[in-house]
Amino acid sequence: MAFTNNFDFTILLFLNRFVGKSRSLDELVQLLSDAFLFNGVLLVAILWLFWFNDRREEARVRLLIGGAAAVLAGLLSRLLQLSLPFHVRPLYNQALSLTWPFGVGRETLSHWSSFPSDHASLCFALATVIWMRNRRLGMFAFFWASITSSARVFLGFTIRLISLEEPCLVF
Amino acid sequence: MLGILIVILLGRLPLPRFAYRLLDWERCASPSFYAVAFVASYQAGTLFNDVREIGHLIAGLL
Repeated sequence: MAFTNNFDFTILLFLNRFVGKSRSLDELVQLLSDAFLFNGVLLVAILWLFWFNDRREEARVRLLIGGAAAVLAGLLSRLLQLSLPFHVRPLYNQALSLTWPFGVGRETLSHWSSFPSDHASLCFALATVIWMRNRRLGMFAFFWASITSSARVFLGFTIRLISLEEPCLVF
Repeated sequence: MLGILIVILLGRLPLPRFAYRLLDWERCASPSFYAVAFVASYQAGTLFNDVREIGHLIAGLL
């Protein structure tokens, strides 16, 4: 665990070196992190593409189950956030003294625990549904979910892109 | 990681009967099915932002 923590902090501190240097860069990363069009909307649109592209019963049922599983993953993450001890977002961690990005309000997400990330859980779950159906689009979806989740690491909203200990908390 | 695992695990289970009923609903009453599907996919697309805001408001009131 200590190794992953050190690794996470190294990445976070490395990315933070580029924060606050350019207003355009900070705002672009914030757009990637926050705009629904670049997050869930794009991934859900691909699911609708599958729905109308393949009208076989089994294919559609698998899509419905996948969608429901993705929602369940997001819900479980949120419940874990509420039940686990509060994890302060890196941006608000005084010990890290991160550079504040341009355009991010002083209270943004301050009252939301950062672990586990429901944003990442839902996006990666949707990407998995896509990957199970179409490997090429799935790879793109995983790449895109990684980009949007990395944007949140850049902004200091979360500490890690993907967490290995989340499943251990549930299973 | 949690999201990936849950989708893979549920994807390996036998397909439940109620899911086929949803397909019956889509065939028999597609307007209402797509109305509900629109709301559900809109919420998933916006990462349940509205639902979270409403939940937060209710938690604050209680």
